[in-house]
Amino acid sequence: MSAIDASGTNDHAFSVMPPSLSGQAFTRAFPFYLQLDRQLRVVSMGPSLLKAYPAAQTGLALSDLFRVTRPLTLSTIESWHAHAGELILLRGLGSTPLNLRGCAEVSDDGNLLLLVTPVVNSLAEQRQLGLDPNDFPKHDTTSDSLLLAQTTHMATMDAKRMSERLSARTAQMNSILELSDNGAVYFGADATLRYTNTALRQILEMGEAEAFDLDIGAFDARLGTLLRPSDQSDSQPLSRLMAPTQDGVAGIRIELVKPRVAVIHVKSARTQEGGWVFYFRDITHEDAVDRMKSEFLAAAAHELRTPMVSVLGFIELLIARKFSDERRADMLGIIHRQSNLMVKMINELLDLARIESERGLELQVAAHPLNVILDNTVKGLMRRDTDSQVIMGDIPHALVMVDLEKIQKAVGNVLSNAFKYSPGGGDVTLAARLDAAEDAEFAVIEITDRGIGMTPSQLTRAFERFYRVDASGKVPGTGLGLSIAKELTEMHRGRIELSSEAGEGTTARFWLPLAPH
Amino acid sequence: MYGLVNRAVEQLVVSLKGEPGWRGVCAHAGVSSDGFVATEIYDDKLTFDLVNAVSVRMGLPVETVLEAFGEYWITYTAAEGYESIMDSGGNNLREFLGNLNSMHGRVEATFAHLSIPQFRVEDISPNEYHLFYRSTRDGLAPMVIGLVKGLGKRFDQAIEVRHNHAKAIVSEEDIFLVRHVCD
Repeated sequence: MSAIDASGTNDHAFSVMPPSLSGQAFTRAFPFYLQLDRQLRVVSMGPSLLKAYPAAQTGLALSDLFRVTRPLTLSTIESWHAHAGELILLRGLGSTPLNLRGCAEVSDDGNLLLLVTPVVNSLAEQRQLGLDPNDFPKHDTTSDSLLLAQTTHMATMDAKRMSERLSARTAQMNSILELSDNGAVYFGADATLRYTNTALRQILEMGEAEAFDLDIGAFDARLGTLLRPSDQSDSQPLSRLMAPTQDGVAGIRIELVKPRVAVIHVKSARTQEGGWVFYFRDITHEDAVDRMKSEFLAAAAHELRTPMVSVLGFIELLIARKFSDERRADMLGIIHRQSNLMVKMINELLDLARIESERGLELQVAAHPLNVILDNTVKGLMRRDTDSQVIMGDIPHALVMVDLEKIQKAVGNVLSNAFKYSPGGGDVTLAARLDAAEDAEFAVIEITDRGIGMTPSQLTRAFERFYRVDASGKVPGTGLGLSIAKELTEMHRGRIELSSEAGEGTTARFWLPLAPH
Repeated sequence: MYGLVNRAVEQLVVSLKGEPGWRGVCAHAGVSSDGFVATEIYDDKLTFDLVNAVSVRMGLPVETVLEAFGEYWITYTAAEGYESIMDSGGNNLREFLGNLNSMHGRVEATFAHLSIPQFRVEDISPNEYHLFYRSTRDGLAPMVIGLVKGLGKRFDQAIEVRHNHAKAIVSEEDIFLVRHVCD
């Protein structure tokens, strides 16, 4: 028989005896071995086999302990000899879960040596057999494979758990993003669109499936077509945001004309994996409010300047020149009136500012009789300089939910206007009725004058701050009275309407909510 | 560091402070709270960041956190399916520590990419011995104290552990004195 020597060369000239092991070393190397005599009875066995299968005792026949499943028909020692070196599989009999695999070898004395090891698929099975890693020889990787299998199983469970957590988090993020009024769109590092929320699709009037057809360039081009023509020189606004010099957090402002007119603030951020996220915030309302504030400030300054110039001019005249007592009294009268006008204007501006800042939070709303409100208001406006009177029409008995002081001011402002814009005299009528709208009940107060009235274009501007139908300055006033009346009425969840015809007069209607029955 | 270690940190925090506590730790450390895969290798910095975050959020010194973690590691690994490996380590603390290198050798044979510490024991007297610990990582000596204490509890043996010599340039090992306390 040829053999491989220690140097690894196959040298027929030097026959090397195969190594043999002492009993102890053999047992350490094959702790599950089984030695059988010619009658196939157990002669000896490894300690680990005995530990896993205590019923296996010397003298017992192999067939009393195991069923041989491979190779089949091994009933004599001769048939075992014929299969020496082949794979054998043994199944423990009875309740033992022990299965063995290995090979059969014939020893020099003709006995049979089964060099086998347990078939174990998990650490749990190993434990069930009463075995631990020390029961396996160091060269046997069974135990380490079980460690690997256990850890791999754990990793699989980890991945599953992480996947579940990610799914839950995705659902959370979707809920948050869907609740937002602001649009969000995400493009992956490959520039394909991965996500849009409902708000974004509504802003751009785009279907969800349709959005997935767009990459970042196509999306940007599509956005460009929706811009106000003056903005279309910048036909790809997102590209501008993606420029290295652009501050994505500060964002850009774009104006859409399609699908609806809107002002949008767009911010961007680069994600860790190289994608882009864009955030669209509709600032149309904020933008309008900002513009209105600027216009209001300009108008207020302008309106204050007119009486101020008058006051200043007359004071300069009085300082520089001498006038008769009569003339001097006239001029002081003008200064006094103009100063009063300025004070009134400032007070009304302050009233407006307070109404806006309170936003109804400071209202002392309670149920008040309608007739009491209207009587008080009319008495507060009794005028001695005119024959015009308020003619009280029908006032139904009803309670309205209002802040008494504030609603009297609102009605008073409109009554005052009715007198002021009736320069030729003429009575003012005040009446009320009950009505319902949008499942709610209201008291409708009507104030009608026979004054100069308004053209349709004047009517559309009647509630603007500082707007005066009479631009001649003959009718005293600040141009803020109707604005205040409107703000105060709306604070009560009511509304005010005007109808008018030039030269015929004006009717104002207050809708005030009735107290619950 | 092996993902199993980070998972154990997570489990320790969850057992003490619940899931919200763990999310707070992750937020402080700037680490995702989605979890870790046991077999994955994570940057050591991530583990140290987590330990620091636990320290800050729970108002405990880092050393105390590491020691608590070391103690927890013993029960955690047994509960995670490695009970039989723990069982094969020995029947008492001294035997277990003596076999620790062999156990770690098995792990290293299976997961060759892991950087696993080495331990050896030198007896001083029947109830007293030195445990030598060598690792490529610094700062984990308190964790070793916790590990030994956790093993003492596992074997129901009362012990004292002291960190006698810290790893220094002149010595590449930390040395711990372990003394069994007789009742």
